Amino acid sequence: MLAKKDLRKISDCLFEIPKSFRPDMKASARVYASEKMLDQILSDESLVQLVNVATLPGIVKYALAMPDIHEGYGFPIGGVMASSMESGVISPGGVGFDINCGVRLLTSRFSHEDLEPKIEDLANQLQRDIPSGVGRGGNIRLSGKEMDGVLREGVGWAVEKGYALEEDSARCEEGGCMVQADPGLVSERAKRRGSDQLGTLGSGNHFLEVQKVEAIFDNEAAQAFGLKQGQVVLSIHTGSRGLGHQVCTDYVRLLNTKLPTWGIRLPDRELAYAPLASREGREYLGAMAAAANFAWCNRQLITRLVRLAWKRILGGDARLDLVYDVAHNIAKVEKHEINGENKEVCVHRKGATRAFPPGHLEIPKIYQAVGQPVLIPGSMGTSSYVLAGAESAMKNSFGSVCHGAGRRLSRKAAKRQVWGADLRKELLARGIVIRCHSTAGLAEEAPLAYKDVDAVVDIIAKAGLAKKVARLKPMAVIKA
Amino acid sequence: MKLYEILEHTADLKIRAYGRDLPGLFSNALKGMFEAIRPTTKKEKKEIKRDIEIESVDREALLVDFLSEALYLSDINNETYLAVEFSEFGDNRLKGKISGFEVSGFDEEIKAVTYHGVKIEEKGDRWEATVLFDI
Repeated sequence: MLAKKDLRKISDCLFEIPKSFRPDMKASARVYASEKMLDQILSDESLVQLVNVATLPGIVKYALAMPDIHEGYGFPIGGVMASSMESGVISPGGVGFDINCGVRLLTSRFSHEDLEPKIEDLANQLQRDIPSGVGRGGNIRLSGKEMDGVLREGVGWAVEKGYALEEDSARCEEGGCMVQADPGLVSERAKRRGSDQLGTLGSGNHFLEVQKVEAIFDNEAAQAFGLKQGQVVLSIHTGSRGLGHQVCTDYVRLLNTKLPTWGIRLPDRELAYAPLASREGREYLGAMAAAANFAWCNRQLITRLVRLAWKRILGGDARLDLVYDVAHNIAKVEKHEINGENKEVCVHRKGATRAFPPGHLEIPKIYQAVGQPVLIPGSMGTSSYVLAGAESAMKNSFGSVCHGAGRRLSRKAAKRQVWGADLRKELLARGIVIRCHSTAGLAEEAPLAYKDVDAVVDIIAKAGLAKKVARLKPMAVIKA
Repeated sequence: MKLYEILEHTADLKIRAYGRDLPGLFSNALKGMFEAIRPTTKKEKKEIKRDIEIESVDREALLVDFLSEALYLSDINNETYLAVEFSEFGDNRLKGKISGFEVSGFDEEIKAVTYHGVKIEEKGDRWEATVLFDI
């Protein structure tokens, strides 16, 4: 059992479980949190899971948790782990089933006052046009050849087909395409599941949100990102749908059959891994990258539908520009400074977001002066944030920050405390329009089921990992 | 005897299934998984049967892999399954037919069946299994 006494305070917002805590740890485990947050974090198994992560071979520096950490399976959600390319491992559980679940932010030319009279019509149109929930397929059914194109090229496929603007791919992490992707490593099952799911939102905590910029914290960064006080923006939160889920399922199953032959026993089967230097490790990376490309293409196809709905309601020259698109469930091969040397490592982010600083060559030129945009969605009805990556993240957290608010209540507990219909009325009374298919599902996603996103982002800013740029408030939420 | 119950878990779906024997346990776990996500069956309830055949490293993995296969079949066919009849059932291998109906959708989406904390235990005169699902 882990208790507060097992953590050493490094600063007001950073705590560490030393390597000596358990004999099988190969590195320490660090958590970004306030002392008050620690009490809540220690109420589930998330830090025990973080300690398990710290036992993985070839782990570099330390296992990391963000302030929105909560219990997952194998790896906690809200965790970061980097592995040595030579001696380290890659783990599907360190990425998650929803490979490249992520967020993108679009800006409009409207102020919220100008949009308010049309918000209900807009919400209705968006709900009609963007398929969500389980069982409703998208408007595109991919042939085998087209599917391979999506898996190989990501947003590039959408640009070729005329579903994206030229500048959209540059404003995605990885340019909307991971080059390691190999469609041949994705199973036929995964492809079948994804074949009619491109351009669909899914369900659970996935959503589309029309928002207003309520506060600007950094004028220079806001200007670079194209954000203005009172402006209407739009966020899309979804991932790789059934295709990604199946890729992860396939590889966790495969790796669990390999572990006995490699002589490996794990405290949790969801920690199953392959050495990065092994064929299986490279194959998972190739399949994961392909699924990540599917997710970027998915968010791009949803953007296309959103742009069409936008024009339909608001007029022909109403446009939406992409600010950025980030992944928060992914493994990336990146260069980081390790013991004074610039080395390639495999960074797993499961419920964590990349936050590269000003000057980093992998972020778009237009953002290099201010840092990479980082998009942090809050829970339904609460604030979302736009941050900018800072140098301290590169030094201390493998260029990573939190991904959102993280759950604190189970779905059952949320439904006991909140009645979906009352929640809808309460949100409407606060000027937030909700469109969803399931009222029970609404209660499960109630704000009280989540941690306080303001507190989570405050810790990230206090630790210097990223700076606050803007706070967004919802005007309309569209979900399954 | 209760067939299954839904337990508390912060972010996911946790189900404990019961059975008089292992095949019954697997069948009730299947039923619990799909009932937990609240299917909307179509007006014309035509019964559907699908073949299923799984080989796994051990009994616990067999349960997870069986449920994963049912989830895959559900996703590509838009169906829910309520029961299974086995023609073969061993510690790490099974073969049979799952039966159910077409659906227009489900209220919730299971992303995957996880191996996390999966347990199959004999308690007195019945079997119990606990499975965690990523929602």
